[in-house]
Amino acid sequence: MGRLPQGFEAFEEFVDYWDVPTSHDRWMRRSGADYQDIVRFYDAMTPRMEEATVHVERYPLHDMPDDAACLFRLLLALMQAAIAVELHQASRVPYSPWPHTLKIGAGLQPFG
Amino acid sequence: MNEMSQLQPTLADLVGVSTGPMPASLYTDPNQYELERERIFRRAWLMVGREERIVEPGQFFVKDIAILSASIIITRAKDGQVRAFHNVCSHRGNHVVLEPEGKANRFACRYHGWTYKNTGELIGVPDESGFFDFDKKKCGLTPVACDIWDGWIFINFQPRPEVGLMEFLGSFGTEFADIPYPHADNCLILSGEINANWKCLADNFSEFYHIQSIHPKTLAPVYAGKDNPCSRPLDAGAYGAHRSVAGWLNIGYQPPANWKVVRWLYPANQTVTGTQKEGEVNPLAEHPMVNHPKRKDWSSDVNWIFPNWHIQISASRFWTHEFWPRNRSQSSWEARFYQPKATTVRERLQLEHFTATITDTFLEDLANIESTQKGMESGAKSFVYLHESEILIRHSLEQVDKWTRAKTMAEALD
Repeated sequence: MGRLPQGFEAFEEFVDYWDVPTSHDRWMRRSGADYQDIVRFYDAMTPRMEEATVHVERYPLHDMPDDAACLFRLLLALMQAAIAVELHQASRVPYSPWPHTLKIGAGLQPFG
Repeated sequence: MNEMSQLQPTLADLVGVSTGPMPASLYTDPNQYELERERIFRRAWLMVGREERIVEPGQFFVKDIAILSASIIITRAKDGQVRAFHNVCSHRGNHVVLEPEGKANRFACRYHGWTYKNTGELIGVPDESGFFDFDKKKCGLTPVACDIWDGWIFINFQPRPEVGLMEFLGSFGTEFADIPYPHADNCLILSGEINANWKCLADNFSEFYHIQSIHPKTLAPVYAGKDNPCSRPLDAGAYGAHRSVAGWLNIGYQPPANWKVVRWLYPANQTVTGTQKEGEVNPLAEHPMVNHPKRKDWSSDVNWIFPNWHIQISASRFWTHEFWPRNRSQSSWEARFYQPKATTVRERLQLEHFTATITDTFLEDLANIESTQKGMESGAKSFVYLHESEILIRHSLEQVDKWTRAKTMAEALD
């Protein structure tokens, strides 16, 4: 039994790394990833982001079955990947310290 | 030369400040820091949070004020009143509340179980008969002066504040009152411990001059442009100890076509911090002191309330920065970005993209703030040179200097 909804099995390989509970976790995952891995995730997700969103939208925002919530969290992680690919063309902001002490103490819900 | 470099009157005229170099020692001198502790942080009204954090009776939060070695409990009791107390047990001085926030009508010190109501009274002492000549009524939590302006909760460490909150806020308090802050009950909190003097930290968020160099991809496309490459401000003003500047917007900016996610996620003309959409009535931007010059090419205001916090406002959002000294060269920074609660998956995705953008933007700032402090610590430079765009920094330094020289609050506010 996969962790993602039927039809989205192709994303299974990304779940272990990119499906994390909070915005801070997602920020750290993206910042700590090899840039080529971020691009691979971005390139796999973007052609199907509309389709995946339509699937997740079938459920209430705060009450989704586990598989839809997993797909939703991958879409949230795609937002982080998009910053790396579209803005920085790097895993992290150029000239920024890593690791650093900034922390998202409370994110925006759900899964923030 | 561009249009924005020829503003008349100049911002320095508008704000009424000096134009010479400023002493770097304001950021590095240990004696200066001690004066700031006693004459600024122990005398000024300090903003500790918005009322929405404690809407219901029983809700509380704790604020650490490191420069005064203080921990303060802010409570709302059944009578609806907001109160502040030193978080210190009357028994032997332990901190009573250890959680950063919560809901409780009474607080029990973990050490020996002394218990207080959220209105401050001591109501429980285990084995009370063992104390000598003991008057429980005299052993409540020590109150701290507390008042509210426009939803912002302030405290004052003077046992009997020399001036009330409204007098401290002066014309800022009247002119900037009744701003309809949107989504004030929902925010993203970003925080960090920064190796820089609190003013060096605050300075960074107070000028647009650095946008094109430090934020070339995150902010510059929106807040700088062909007509205004160095993000010259539109307007500035001083209101007693407080100050405000209005930033410029690169109207018509569109994200590049290869930004697939951004293009998919956002409608046209949306910017990171929120802009006014054509034909949309927006109560926030209608306030006379929001976008004070009422220009179409306005991005956002930076309102710096003395000594250590900002309310920044765009056409549809507001956010705050707090800059708290820990010691001469270390500070705590907390930013709160007030955002609508997501009602759909797409709105939530937009908020995550916003989160990812804004957090990286502040990472861009971080290294520069800390290396600026290091550079000043070297003593190589006796003075710093401030551009006209850095008008808020100049006004801040002048006020800091004035307050640290002033023997009374009347003198400081004169």
